[in-house]
Amino acid sequence: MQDKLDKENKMGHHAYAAVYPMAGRRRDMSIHGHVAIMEIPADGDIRFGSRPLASFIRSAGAASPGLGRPDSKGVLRVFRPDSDADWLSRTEIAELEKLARKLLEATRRMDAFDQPAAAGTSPRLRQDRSPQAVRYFELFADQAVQEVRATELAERASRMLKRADQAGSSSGVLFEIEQYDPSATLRSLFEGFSRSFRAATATEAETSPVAISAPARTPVQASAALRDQLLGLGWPTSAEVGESHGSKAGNKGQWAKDRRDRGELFGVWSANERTFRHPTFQFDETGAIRPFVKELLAALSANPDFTPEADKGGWRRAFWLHGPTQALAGANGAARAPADVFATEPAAVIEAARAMTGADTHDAW
Amino acid sequence: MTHGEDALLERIAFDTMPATIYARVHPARLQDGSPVDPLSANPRSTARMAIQPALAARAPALGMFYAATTSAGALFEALLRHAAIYPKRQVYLPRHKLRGQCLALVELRRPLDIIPLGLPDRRIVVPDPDSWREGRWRELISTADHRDTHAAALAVYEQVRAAGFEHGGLSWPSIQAPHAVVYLLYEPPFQREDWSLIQVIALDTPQGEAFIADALAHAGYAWLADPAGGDYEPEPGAI
Repeated sequence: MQDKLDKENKMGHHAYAAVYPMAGRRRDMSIHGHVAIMEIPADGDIRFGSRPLASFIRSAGAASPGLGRPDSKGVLRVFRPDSDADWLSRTEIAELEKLARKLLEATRRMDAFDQPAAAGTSPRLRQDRSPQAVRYFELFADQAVQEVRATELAERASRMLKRADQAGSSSGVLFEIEQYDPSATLRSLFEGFSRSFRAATATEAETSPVAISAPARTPVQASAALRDQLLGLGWPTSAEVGESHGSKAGNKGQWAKDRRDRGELFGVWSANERTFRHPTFQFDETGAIRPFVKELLAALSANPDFTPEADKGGWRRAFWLHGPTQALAGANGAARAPADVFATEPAAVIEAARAMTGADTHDAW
Repeated sequence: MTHGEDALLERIAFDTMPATIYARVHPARLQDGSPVDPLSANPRSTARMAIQPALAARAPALGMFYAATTSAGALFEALLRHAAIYPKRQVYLPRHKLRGQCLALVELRRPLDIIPLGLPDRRIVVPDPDSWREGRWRELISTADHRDTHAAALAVYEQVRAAGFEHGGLSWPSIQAPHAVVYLLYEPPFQREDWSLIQVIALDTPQGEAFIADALAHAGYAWLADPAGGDYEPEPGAI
């Protein structure tokens, strides 16, 4: 059941305010199967659900059973075949979203509202003078909308299910509009549907799904936790660095301190241990300091926040060096951390440090 | 209307920028020390889709006015583009980037026509999802390197103007800030009189930092405090 609907995680707080109560199967149905429903209110939260095909047998003006009337001027319900009566899978939800997007784009592209169809053009949605409470439509080939009589709805839904069983078939989009505000035009309703859909899916269209949750820590707590996490990586102490470089000094940490003071080595202060630790990106496989570390530290020190005086403990620089940034995006566009890139692309990291320091923020607005 | 393959807009069509409240980031002062009007366009902008002679040959001298539907959207577009983003959406920005910066809440008094570049509205200007334009627009509205967008911005400007329309601006979804839409208006035809100023927040103050933390929290991000002072720093002479 891993592929089942996770109401909390998929689209954040805008969607899934509720789901329909699922209806049980009827043994005496003359038509079988279930229909998945995406309900998009005009300016409200999107909901998903499933209904037996038998529930589509109805008289004119009867809407699909749902959760009751939302606080909206009307709702759009988009239908597709449902493979399982009890659950909506992520795949089915994604398919419903795709159909809804197709429908909203097509109706918008056609400018399909409030005007009679010109001769020879595709059928249009028209706003009549006395809107029914519930109307049913089918979108064909992304360019024609046909109104469906209520008494034909079950047959159309059944046909939709059969088409879905035929591999490679191209089916239309069956949908229903229930209007609660008689004065609302179809155009205004669809504008509201589009806003709701956009609010729930706009960023998903460009990026991966987003779950919004408030951070569990304050900024101060979060920084302290990140520092502790970085310290937990086991970077070598001053004494360990001195030993690995064969220091003969009585104080094994002096070798590292001298390099830090000369801007040749970077360290961060570990308050609990009363010593500096040194991020490992600076060292090669033998433990020797990599070329260009000095150049990197010089580039960073041009930043007023990153001078040795302004960053005595090194943590400002450590946070920049270990945080993935778009300034070092890889070929696939993914952000990369300077510390992860330095071994193979030291020039790119040094350039990013200079750019971060030199960029004129007055030009970025 | 159809265009050649070099036209980034397959069709020229407009969406509405609603009359409501927006957030925008701006410096408190220009480099010469003169104060910045929060309702002014910036002729020096080098940000995403900016148009000015210094950015592209033949470009007209326009002003740019960026505004977003959320504070997080405005912050990410203007200030946090190159911030370090740690796992669990933790954001670190060297604080010199905040120095002298403000966030203004501004209200648009009348709807404006703009060209939408985010899905699903992009379909009114690029109906074919398989078109080469689709991939190019994805790059243009998401790249962190704004230099890559300036020639395209000029091409769109020229395309729209050549068709006899006024080019009021563009919109795109914020990549980092969920559900935020970023708008760019060009001056002309941008008019200061269409806007009213609600509030200005100085970002380089403790109150500004708290505002940023709150704005980012609403977008699901955690703002990292400046790791300096206190036990982040060693005692003198420490080894």
